[in-house]
Amino acid sequence: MELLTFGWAALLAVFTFSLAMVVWGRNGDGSIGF
Amino acid sequence: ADWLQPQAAAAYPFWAQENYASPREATGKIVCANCHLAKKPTEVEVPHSVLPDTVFKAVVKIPYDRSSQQVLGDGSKGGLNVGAVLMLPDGFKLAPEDRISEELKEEIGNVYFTNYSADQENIILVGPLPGDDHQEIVFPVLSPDPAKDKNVFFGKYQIHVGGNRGRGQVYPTGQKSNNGVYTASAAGVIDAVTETASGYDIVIRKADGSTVTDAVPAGPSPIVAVGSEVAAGAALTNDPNVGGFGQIDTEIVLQSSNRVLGVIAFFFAVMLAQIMLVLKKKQVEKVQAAELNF
Repeated sequence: MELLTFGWAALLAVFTFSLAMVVWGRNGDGSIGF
Repeated sequence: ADWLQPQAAAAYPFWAQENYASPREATGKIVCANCHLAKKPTEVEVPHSVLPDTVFKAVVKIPYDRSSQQVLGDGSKGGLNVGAVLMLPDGFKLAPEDRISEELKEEIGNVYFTNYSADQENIILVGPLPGDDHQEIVFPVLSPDPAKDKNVFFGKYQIHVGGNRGRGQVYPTGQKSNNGVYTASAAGVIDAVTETASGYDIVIRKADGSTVTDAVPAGPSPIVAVGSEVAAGAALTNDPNVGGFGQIDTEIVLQSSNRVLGVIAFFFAVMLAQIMLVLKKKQVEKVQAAELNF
């Protein structure tokens, strides 16, 4: 059953990762200014 | 005496096996409901999806108030029994002894499962069991392997579950049990309520002066008094029943490990493509910053 759990985990990860890629591509959300 | 030579339990799921080729009618009703007329909740827990040739557990819950007692065949009070039927998709069956882990064996306890019939291994019966210890029944199930059995395919399938607690109201022959309401066979005035060796005789005097006697077995107690008027079909007794039957449907996915690996590979490709797109954007931004135009 571990493979099925890993499959679901991969779905959660790819969604979160896509959000992270948008933030990176837009050079952050401006919440911390250096 | 029963305590010297205990009689084999007249297993009530056995009555369903004897009378119905399938425990589920075309309407979706599970046949237990034909005799267990009262409705009580039944719950089931199965995994969302399982891989082929894997042992998993299906848990059927048959809750009731442990302090309640039902009337037995002779009118005395006793504890409730429970029973359940688990209709799995084709190819699924009870896990063989050597595939069940020690941990799961402990959860199952001392419960004996049977198949509905020799050619219906996917339908599992259990009961009657003493209800106070078995409000939760754990079924060890083995999933089929489409690679070995050509009649089994990956996909989503339905599971039908029925769970019962307590005695029924009707026997398979159509006779009423003593675990239900007894009603007046005619309209009239109650002439006599006499206790007999096997319950009560209730005499009703009809409007034309003739009388009818309704025999009530031991178990339900009369709620009418001499002199009170009753309509035809009105209750003469209380309802001693405390049990009931419930059924529930759920679904299970027979999942292919190759499909799961496929979707993980696809997700990986998506992540890689996203990284590449961001890197490309950064590169373009650098070129723009240098005010270079090609």
